[in-house]
Amino acid sequence: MMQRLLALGLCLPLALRAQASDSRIDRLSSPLRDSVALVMDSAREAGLPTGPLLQKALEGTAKQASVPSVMRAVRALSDALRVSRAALGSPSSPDELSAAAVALRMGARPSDLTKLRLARPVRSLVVPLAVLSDLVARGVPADTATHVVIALAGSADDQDYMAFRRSVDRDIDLGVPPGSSAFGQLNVSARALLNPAKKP
Amino acid sequence: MLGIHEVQSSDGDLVRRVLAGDARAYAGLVARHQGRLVRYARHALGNREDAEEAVQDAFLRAYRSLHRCDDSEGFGPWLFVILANRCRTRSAQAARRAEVVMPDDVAIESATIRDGGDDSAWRDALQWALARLAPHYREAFLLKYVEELSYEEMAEITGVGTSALKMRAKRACEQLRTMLEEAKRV
Amino acid sequence: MSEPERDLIERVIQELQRPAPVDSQLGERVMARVLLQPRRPRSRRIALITTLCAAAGVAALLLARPGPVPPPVDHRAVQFSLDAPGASTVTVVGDFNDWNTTTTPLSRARSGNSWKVTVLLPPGRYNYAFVVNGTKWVPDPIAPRTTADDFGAPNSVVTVGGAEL
Repeated sequence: MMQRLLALGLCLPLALRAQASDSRIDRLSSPLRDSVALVMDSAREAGLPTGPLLQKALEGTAKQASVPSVMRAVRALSDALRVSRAALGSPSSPDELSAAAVALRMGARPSDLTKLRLARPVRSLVVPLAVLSDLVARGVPADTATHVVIALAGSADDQDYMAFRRSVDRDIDLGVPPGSSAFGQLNVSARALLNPAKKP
Repeated sequence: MLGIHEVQSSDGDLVRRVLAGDARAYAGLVARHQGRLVRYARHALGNREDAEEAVQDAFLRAYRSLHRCDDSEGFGPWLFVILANRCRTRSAQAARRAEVVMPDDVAIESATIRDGGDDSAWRDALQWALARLAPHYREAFLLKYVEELSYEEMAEITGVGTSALKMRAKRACEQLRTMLEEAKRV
Repeated sequence: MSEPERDLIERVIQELQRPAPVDSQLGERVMARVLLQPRRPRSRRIALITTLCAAAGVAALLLARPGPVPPPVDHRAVQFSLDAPGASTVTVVGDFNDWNTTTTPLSRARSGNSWKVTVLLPPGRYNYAFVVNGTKWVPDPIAPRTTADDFGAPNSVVTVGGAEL
């Protein structure tokens, strides 16, 4: 990559190339900026969203993390985005890829993401994936969370997903084990979605 | 942080400010028109990514050619012509590359309309049917019925005669109806 | 066209006329490209003058201070609040404001203990935390979920639902 740049005789430092597309990179310290710009350029060339990578670097900077730990986090996210794109297929929106990368890091498997895409091929996966991650964050086992989210994918819209998540939260707050709550609410939601007049 | 304010200047005011050197004023035009443009481009091109790329492209072309916008208050329709042409070009390119914006068989199954009148499945079926229309039929349908343009306005945008446009819009209605009925029976 | 056929087409039109969600960053992406263009002529007859570095500098400056825009239709209002008696400043920091510790300050309620701000967010899942007095990072005590971050400081999470595409 660097050789290609030199061969083209570009005089702009790497950071300025990335800066041409996202000036927020200026908020990073000098050594971090160039390293992040390299990862962002690779991601851009691979057709992956670069915004989340920069967000991760900005988060690390705001929290005064060391440069190596920020770069570890940025590279891990870049890898997750690649896996997400392979699992979800094209075209997938940048928001979907970002949400999928989070879900993968929460324990979803690439094959689960593919199943979700097949179950919901036209509508956005952003909210279903966000709900999946939310369920795991509340203690629902990853397998259970992916099962319920996929089960709802063909019939639930975004509001249904959010209502489902709120119901699971409520159950957990009342002491129901998270996995049981997710399955229980899936049965309730499935009945409601087949009978719109009786939606919760 | 989000800079949310109410834009009160007219299109004409903003265009004049941009031409006078205030590039930031263009943001107001973008904010005001992006919704309609994205809606049209999404239906014309079938996916959000291509639609947003076409819309960005249209805004940029409009900015570069702003001095050619004859009537500052007519910025919206003029911009829409630019977008419609971008969408036609992209549709033609996709057709030449044999890319078909069409969901797969699983989507067709999931687009089944159940007797309960499932709205979300019906919307899927509609997107599927719209994607199956020939690009020029889809364009005529969207311009006439969704954007509510007159046939004369459509002729200016497309360069096609009004009789041909009427025929295309009619065929689009027929084909959409047939496909949606077909999806209901699956 | 028969009555049922007209009804079907009417239904199609109504559906297609619904507003489409717009990526919240689309306006910024457009303006980033616009501001890299050569400076606009002051009249239609003046030739354009190109200065790449100046344009990049202007782009960076203007992107840091976004111009006035109306809220997109799919954004939802989310209120962030924190009880922080004795604090002199509280800000919320997260994915939605580029982890900038100063751009989204909370306002103190009359009672003096409670701090609040309302932010418009598009659908998605956002990590965030509060920063008290400019230096102390605090997760949201009433958020139902936290997530381990990559830097040893747990984030709170808020998920915003959206309109159907």
